[in-house]
Amino acid sequence: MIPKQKPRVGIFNLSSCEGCIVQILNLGEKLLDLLKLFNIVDCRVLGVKEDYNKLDIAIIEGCVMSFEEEVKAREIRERSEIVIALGDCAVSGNINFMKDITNKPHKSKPLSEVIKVDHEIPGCPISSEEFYRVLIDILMGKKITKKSITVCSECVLRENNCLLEKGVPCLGPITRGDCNAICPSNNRPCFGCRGLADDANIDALIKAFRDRNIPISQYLIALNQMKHKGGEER
Amino acid sequence: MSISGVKLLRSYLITKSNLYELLERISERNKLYAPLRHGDQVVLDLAKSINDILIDYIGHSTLPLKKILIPPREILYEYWIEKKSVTINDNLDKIASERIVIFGIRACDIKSIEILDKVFLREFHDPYYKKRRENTVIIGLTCVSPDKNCFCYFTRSGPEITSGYDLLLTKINEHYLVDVGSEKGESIIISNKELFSDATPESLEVKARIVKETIIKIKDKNDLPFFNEVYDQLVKRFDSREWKEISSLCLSCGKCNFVCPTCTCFDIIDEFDPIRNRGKRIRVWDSCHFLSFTRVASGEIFRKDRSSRIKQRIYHKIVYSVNDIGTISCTGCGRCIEVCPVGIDIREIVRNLAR
Repeated sequence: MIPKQKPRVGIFNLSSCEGCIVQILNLGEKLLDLLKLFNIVDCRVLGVKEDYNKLDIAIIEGCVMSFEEEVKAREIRERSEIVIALGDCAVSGNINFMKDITNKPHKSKPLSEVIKVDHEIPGCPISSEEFYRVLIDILMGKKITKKSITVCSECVLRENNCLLEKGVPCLGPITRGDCNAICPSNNRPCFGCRGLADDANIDALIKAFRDRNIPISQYLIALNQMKHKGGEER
Repeated sequence: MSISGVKLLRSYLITKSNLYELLERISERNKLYAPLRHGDQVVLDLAKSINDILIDYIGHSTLPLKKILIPPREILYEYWIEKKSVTINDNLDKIASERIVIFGIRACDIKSIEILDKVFLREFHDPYYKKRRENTVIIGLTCVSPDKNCFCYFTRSGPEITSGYDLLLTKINEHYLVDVGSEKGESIIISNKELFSDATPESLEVKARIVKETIIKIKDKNDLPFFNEVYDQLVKRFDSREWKEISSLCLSCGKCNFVCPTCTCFDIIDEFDPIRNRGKRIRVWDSCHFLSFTRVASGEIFRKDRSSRIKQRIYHKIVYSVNDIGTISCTGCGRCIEVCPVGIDIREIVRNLAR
């Protein structure tokens, strides 16, 4: 079922570490599959730069930190049918935004604050598998929906020892899963890289931290205030 | 073979070393699932070595028995398209050849089978569940050391249980009393006769005493109404203000659903490989605490409010389940209490609402 006309894809990066693009390269054999289905016409990391006017799919990694990046994002949006925000920096601002959270106005902006984003692939870094799935689903015309599963519930599926119970500040209960709880399964607390779960109850987690004498970071407090104001969510 | 409602047959005795010998023999010809140690957790998993099996453990495993009968992620079938014809490779064929023995589960999990059967083998038979269920032998282990959150006595599912198992073991001094619950159980005894001796009247008395002692342990820790007697009170308190308070605590993380022995909701996902024209249909566990759970094709979500989701879980266990399958579907295992990061306790909720 290889399409007659392969969709033209551009992969771009704004302020980021390019780790998510490396995750695309980490697909290995599956990347070769994607190359049979898609025509990558622009990607700095792959060393591809063809002449093109319109793009079917633009994949943008990184958050918007400067006026130049804002212009670049708008330009890409204008010539693209579908825009995918790749990785936590593009989806929510990630580390840049964490440092910036108490500043007004924010210097760092998630992509969706600047342009219309059609799909988001969260994670720091993204899961290669999820990236592959999203591209295939777009190709097949499937409606892409995010599941509300949390990291915490995926962690209990793996029957791990609970880090929270050990007094470790794990954000698993409020973080969107579908990562197979990779961090807590390796004894590292969840740091929320996939963004807030649907209807995340930060107040309740802060209480759970207090009950266990777990220190509450400024970032979590700021995030909670922001959520209550109904503003942007990480 | 009848799957539920088998009556108690005979009883035998087996020594601990003979029990290990029996498990060894069973594991040679079957997939033997048993309680094993995983970090600080007790998990029900494939026993690679008989010596790893925990016989005297406290409480119950982290995930319940349903993880074997309805795996958290299960490929139902694979298919491929060739010259416009579709070939299906149904996983049912693989399941049909499996022989499963589950050893060491408690009354709360044995009771859950009765409820799972009512869900999956009622009007519509789930073929995957049915096949696995038919191929599964249950060897229970009477609980003598309930955990701090155990309350099976108040859901009338334990610590004593008289059906739902093929064999039930109870530790009596240096021996294990073996109650036979089915023909499948009896056939295990018959083919391993030399490992068993007949039960003595004293051993039956000791078992009765042990059960009584365990009930006292559970009662000491809990002051609760019987969960099958609070239906009317709960119905009346549906709009109670308490729900707002409970839902302000709830993280909607969904752990309680995943560890519940009777939560059966699942989602179906399709994965397709357009290059090889092959696909898979996969069943994964789902949770009524997730917003996506009630999302329909148009994108509408029916239980947006957190309190409506937590109510769904509690009311399903105690009210809707009675309407639907004629029994409450809480077996009092206490797993949801144990894993809840914010300490939401179904016992407290029911006690307060039933007041």
